[in-house]
Amino acid sequence: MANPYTRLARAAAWLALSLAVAAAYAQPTQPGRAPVTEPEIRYQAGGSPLAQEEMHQNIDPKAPPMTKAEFDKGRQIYFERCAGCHGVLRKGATGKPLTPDLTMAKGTEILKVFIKYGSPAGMPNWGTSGDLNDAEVDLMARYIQQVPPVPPEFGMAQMKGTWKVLIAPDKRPTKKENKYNIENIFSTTLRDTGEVALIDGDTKQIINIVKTGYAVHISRLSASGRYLYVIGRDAKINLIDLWMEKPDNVAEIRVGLEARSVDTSKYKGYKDRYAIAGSYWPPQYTIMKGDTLEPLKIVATRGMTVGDQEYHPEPRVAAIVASHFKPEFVVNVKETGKVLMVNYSDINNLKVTEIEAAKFLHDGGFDASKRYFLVAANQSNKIAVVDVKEGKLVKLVDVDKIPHPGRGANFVDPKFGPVWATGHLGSEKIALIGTDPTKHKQNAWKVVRMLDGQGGGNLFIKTHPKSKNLWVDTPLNPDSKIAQSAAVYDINNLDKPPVVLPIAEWAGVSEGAKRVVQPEYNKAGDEVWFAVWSAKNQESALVVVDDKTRKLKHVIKDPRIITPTGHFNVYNTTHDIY
Amino acid sequence: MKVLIGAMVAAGAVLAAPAQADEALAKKYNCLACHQLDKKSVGPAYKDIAKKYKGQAGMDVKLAEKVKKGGQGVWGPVPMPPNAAVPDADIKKLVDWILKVS
Repeated sequence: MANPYTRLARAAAWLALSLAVAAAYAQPTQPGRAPVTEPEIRYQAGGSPLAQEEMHQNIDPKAPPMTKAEFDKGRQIYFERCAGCHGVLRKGATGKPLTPDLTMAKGTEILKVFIKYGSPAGMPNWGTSGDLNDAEVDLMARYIQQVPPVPPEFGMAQMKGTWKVLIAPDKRPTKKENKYNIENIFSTTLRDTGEVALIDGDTKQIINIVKTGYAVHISRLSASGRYLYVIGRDAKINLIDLWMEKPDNVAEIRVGLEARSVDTSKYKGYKDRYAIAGSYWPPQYTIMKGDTLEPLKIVATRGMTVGDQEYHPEPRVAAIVASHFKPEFVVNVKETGKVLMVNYSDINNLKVTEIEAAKFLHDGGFDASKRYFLVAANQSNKIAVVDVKEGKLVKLVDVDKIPHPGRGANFVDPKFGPVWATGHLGSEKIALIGTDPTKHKQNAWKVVRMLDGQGGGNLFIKTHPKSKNLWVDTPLNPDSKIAQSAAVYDINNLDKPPVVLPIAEWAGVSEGAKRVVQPEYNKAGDEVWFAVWSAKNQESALVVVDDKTRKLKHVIKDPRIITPTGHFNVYNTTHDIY
Repeated sequence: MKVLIGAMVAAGAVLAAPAQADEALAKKYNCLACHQLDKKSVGPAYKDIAKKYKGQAGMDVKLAEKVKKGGQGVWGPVPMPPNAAVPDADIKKLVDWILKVS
């Protein structure tokens, strides 16, 4: 799937896009429509692995003619550049719907103007930016008037076809066979090479570079902390055994053609029993055996949307977390705006509680008590609060434009009590939401503070129970100075502006985008790790900052550290400490 | 009195009706995909077009030709695509309506 050419093309598309959107970003906004910011376009329009899938061609006799070769090229361009916003089936999400009834009514000439010049509502100017030539603009205008090709389904037979147990459970170690302090290992995504680096947090040495799917989106741990699960954008999951002398893959599977999320059973009595993964395409989630990834149960998420209650053919599965209160997975479905509490105590008689939240659900995390799950509904500019103990929606909290919490950050605000915080892709604001309905009832589920950060394009925000610092990255900000630094607030003095640290400069790497991404604490909570992310052919690095002094502690550089986009500490991830 | 108000309302309706009809025409022929009444969008606002050309002799004929054949350069680099399929009579109605937008 992810051959080197494909990866290169994707990387090129990503970089070209970053340049392309600058012009569109500056234009005025259209009244009555939400403007789309450059960070959001950068975030949404990353290439989809579906570009490489064979799909059935269905030429509409009323649509403008196309040859098979033109159709295939249009399909590839569509999935590399358009599908992130307009959807696989072109039903629309961040971008407008582009179903043939609508596109044929506009006609080729008008569509060409939009594709070439963009629009004030946020459509990038693909032609004048130089990304697409006039022939390609014409081709895309004709392509989007055809019936959208439907990617293949991916059921049990396809999954079993990709499933491999590399080392069977009875051939694996019966106790830890290495000297690593595995609770302080970091799993670092190497985006463009399709790998993760396992790094010893104590010695800062690379333990192993493990082959995975393309652009690993997240790493998650089994409840025991022994097994590490990573999932690529191409829906490939790798199971890594941290007890091995040299931790490495022991099983793998693909659960679809495109995916983002994986997690494991955390409730007592179910330690390491199940894993679950959510797919973008096909829209479904899969429950697997925890120690082998054997697929056991696939559940489709196609169905009715929240609010208007219309059928949606493509509700993608966004974040998944595992409840500590019940044998349940919390599955967030983007387009339907629903949170599904999937009870895994009897997967043959599966009980699912469907909680109505808001569109379009994205990512989120627990509060400090782990009873409440807070998830971003990023096109509604809301945070949905779910009580995982009671299985109920508690509140929809209005925040700023396009919240992107990652998993968020929990700390005690000296004035307002326990809070959970999120940054935003679409603005510089950081929203602090009260999370203690017993001792601070008047502040619970309200935005108690809005901090001003460096700018929009924030992806991650982080603190640690032992720290007094709140770290905020801004890797998708169009201003390179902002993208290459991180802001840190003193939790005890939140009225004071943050200190901005030039993390990329500290990395001491040569030319490149050098985006500073994803602050992550070590187990002790006294170090913060950042990825400094440049292109595939440029030097990247990891920067370790001393949390107390906020000074540079260590830089990890290695020719194998290519396009690092984030990392997960084993202990903090196992125990949902953030 | 009642009769007078009734007459005024009726007169108002008669005056308003053609404007609405021509906005419907603009919608029908996809003009509103790029143009809005009072805000610049992909193309210029109708209000700005009216302001620029209102009262100039022969402008209705020139604008009708632009709608038919397309154009580029007056309002920026984004071109107006040709609209060869729209009947001349409807183009005339549209141009007359645009020039009255204020």
